[in-house]
Amino acid sequence: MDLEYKRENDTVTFFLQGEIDHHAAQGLRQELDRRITAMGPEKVVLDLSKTDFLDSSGLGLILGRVRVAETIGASLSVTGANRRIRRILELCGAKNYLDFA
Amino acid sequence: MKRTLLRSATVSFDAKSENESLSRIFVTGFVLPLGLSAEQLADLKTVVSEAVTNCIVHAYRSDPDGRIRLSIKYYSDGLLRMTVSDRGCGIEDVKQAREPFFTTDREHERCGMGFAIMETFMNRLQVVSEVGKGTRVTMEKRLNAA
Repeated sequence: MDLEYKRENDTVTFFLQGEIDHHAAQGLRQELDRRITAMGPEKVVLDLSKTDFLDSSGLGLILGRVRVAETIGASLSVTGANRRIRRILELCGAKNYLDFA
Repeated sequence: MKRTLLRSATVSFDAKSENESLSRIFVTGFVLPLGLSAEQLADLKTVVSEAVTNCIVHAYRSDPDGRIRLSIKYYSDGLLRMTVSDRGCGIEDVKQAREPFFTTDREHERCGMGFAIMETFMNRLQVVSEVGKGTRVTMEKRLNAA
């Protein structure tokens, strides 16, 4: 999966596309961590507006990146999640760990 | 009214993570003629993905030689029954495994919500497991056509 991103000032936004299951999460995890660590932003945004599917493996990926962002002193938020993905995030209590709009 | 089986299909595939999407495509194809809402379809894809991922990650511990069997049945009263089974390591304590946020694999960022999601999105969830023999997860949903 190609990982698109844009950098604006101290914010890096990653655009997660397609279906994020356990299989996709394995590759994305390494790629995100590599870029987050290398770029060292103050804010990391995961844009899910082009994400069609996300299960608990996808949620694990997101929560894991919260911890990675914290290790470099950055915050992480999620944006653009559709109604079905929001339902998963809410069901799993993700609101306690990250901002999502 | 007596419940009769209208349609059924079964598929068996390798316990490889690439096949998680295959399981969702299989379910989508099976329910396509039923005219479900996007919401209902998304729920079914999610729960099957959770069950299949459990087989790959926990039952077979990423051993690709494992096999996963997915069976779907649709009945005259609108009941959809999906069964995901493996011959993996089995679950020692099913009750504990079904508790939200319980996981034996925190290291790989498993959040322990698979069974909780299945339970929430479906009307009934049954987990039968024997250590060393495998696990069978049966999920039922009463479908109302969109």
